[in-house]
Amino acid sequence: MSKIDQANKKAVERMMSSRPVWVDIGRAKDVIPGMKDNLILHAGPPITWENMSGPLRGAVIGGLIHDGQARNEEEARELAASGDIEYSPCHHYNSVGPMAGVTTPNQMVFIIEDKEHGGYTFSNMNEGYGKVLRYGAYDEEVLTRLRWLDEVYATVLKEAVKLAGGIDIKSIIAQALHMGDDGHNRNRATTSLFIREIAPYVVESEFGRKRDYDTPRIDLTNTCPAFKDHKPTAAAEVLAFMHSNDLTALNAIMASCKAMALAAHGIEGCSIVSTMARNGTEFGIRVSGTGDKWFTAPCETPKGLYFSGYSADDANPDIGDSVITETVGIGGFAMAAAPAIVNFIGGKPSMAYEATNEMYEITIVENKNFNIPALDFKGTPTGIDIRKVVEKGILPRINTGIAHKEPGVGQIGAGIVLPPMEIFVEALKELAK
Amino acid sequence: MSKQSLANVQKIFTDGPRVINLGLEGFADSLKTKEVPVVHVLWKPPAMGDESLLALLDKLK
Repeated sequence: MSKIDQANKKAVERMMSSRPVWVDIGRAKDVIPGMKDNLILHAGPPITWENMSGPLRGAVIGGLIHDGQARNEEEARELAASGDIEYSPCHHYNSVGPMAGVTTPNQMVFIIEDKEHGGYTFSNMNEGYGKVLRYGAYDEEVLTRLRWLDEVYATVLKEAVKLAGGIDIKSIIAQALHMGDDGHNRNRATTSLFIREIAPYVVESEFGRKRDYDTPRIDLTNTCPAFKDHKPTAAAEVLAFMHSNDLTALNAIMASCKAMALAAHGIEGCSIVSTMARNGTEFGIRVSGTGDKWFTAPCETPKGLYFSGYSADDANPDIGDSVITETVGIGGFAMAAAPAIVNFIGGKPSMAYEATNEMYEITIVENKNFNIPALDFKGTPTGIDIRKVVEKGILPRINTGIAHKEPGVGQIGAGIVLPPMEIFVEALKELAK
Repeated sequence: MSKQSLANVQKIFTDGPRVINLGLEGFADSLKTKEVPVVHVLWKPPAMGDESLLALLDKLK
């Protein structure tokens, strides 16, 4: 076995043996090493304010207001462009965030511990569908929800996960692939399992028993109409909110996938991709054997289905850290586990099988933990080898949401996107030096 | 050409062709629209036909 093959084997073994467990929730600046008051984390590779796309700018504006650093949009724009704010990829701080991925110093974040290799990874909280910060929206409804998430939702979940003694996210992903999820764009099963695990402790939590608290409440009557007639406990609200959003579990899953990818990063000579991420302007990858160097190129616009009233003309180029799921062998790589996903992203169920089968061409192992019943329980294609990508001319398939190009609108569809080939070529050249 | 080979060639005209298509999927698609049995094989030149990349790949074996 060549030195590169040995390094790659070590990388995927570490990736698959990683054991991410959700252990806590905390304030970003208190728990993310290096996080500080003037730092904003974002999805994808490094980018300046001037080069940010609409949704990312919108999320930064909303993030600064939510964080208490600006009182309104005008102040936030001025501060964002002033040079006083530093911007950095979430990935530089062992964090990930879907779509814009904006994480501000005072925001509450999931804390995932890798019980096998040690260390922590982080992600912000999922806000649900529609007009949300991660798609660049920042109106009063968005800001009220963010406040509720930080002050009520996070407080209850922090207590709950402590009472639970931690929640094993890897086990949830494995089960959800048997229940029709891909772990990226379809998270109905992961979220259901997530709720099952945490619900008893949500109900048991001290804050969860409160019916009165100072934070403005959010409207959950669409999910629970009976809330119109009486004031629910905070626990009931938290569970209703989780139930209202199929993506509730996504952010914890992403941080768990980050833990797996991190375990495979920084191995000398290794040609396995350890990071894929997009900032709405550029797509970036990092490769285990080339360290922290990013290889970037302009990102494409996803192809997929649009919500009523929108088309490809409205779409922003690809954005978000959620492609960390494909990096470790789920998401688009596990589409054969989730044929129903084509209702959301377009195509036929056979396309889901073709997508997974094609990804075996550019990966080096079948995953030991994640498998697909419809493929005779074959492990998902795992460990993207840049040599295979370049040699075969096959790019990783990524399932993704589609953001409106203007800030403040939100999600307008979902589909599939491919990274640019040149970043794999550049990474290959660097590895060969 | 042997009698058997000739018979096989004639079968194309009597029974129609059965096709294995390599590379460009469009050829397979157009045959499918004519209801010609066709199996498409995904194939591209290694490293997109770029000799400098092939040399790099050789170095990184």
